Amino acid sequence: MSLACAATGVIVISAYVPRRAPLPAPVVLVALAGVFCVAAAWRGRRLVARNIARPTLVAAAIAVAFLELVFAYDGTRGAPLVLLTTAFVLVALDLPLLISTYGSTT
Amino acid sequence: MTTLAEPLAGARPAPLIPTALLAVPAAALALLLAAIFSNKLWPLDFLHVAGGGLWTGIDLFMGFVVGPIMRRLDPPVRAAVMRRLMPKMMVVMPTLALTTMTAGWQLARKLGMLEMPYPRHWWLVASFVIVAVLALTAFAVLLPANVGVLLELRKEQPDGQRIQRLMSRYTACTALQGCMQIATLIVMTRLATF
Repeated sequence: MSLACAATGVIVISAYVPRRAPLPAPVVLVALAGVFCVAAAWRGRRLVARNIARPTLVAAAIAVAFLELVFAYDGTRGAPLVLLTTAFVLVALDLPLLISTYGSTT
Repeated sequence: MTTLAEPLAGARPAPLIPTALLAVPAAALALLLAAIFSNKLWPLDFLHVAGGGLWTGIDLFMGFVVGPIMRRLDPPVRAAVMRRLMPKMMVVMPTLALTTMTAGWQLARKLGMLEMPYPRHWWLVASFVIVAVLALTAFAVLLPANVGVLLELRKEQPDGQRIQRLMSRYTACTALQGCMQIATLIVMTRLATF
């Protein structure tokens, strides 16, 4: 759910580029993504396999860094960039959580 | 018959992904960085088209050819194939996805497609949605299933039923990915012919 909310927020902002997107919807979506991410981290705190989570976090961080780079390079600034950055950080945190706990819950 | 030496007690298990395989994404991402900072049409177009072609081709092949064949294999044969195939898929597919998406965004910006007026702009938004669905299913279902299967196969007594469950999800998702990739072809060819 966190990934879906973050991705939807990014799509809404991207759909308006190069214009500035109206921010209420992306703010709500990114906030929801944050809530779901925290909830997932709390639920899975004892199930995380660190030997899987660490390399996944590194890979996810590299991937979102590239996405962040293109938006910043293209001149996205201010609140939209902050929202995008927050969404990307949540994605980078969600992926290792999801992948490293998947084996314990399936 | 030669007996293999027993592994040392406390020896670390081999990594899920062989380190040498990481040279592939490293090279691809280096090319991507160079293309972004060069801001030239040719490298951006090459990375987007080549990356997208490979991503689409592999997804369709896995979803509609390899998946059905794997379902018909005997379990030991299936396990042997998965042990070799999954690590490569875990490296190649996310790299292709990231390269295609990032180069595609830069290409759209360079060609002025981001300023396309509505209603044509909806085709661009459709491409964002399709890519998001592809990425979400890949990272939220396929990749965790990959990891789960590989970890299970490394055990002395792998749980066949659990592997079966994970692989059913995996093959169903690759079929969904295949359908999304066909949708991508429709949208991309429409955008290119405006």
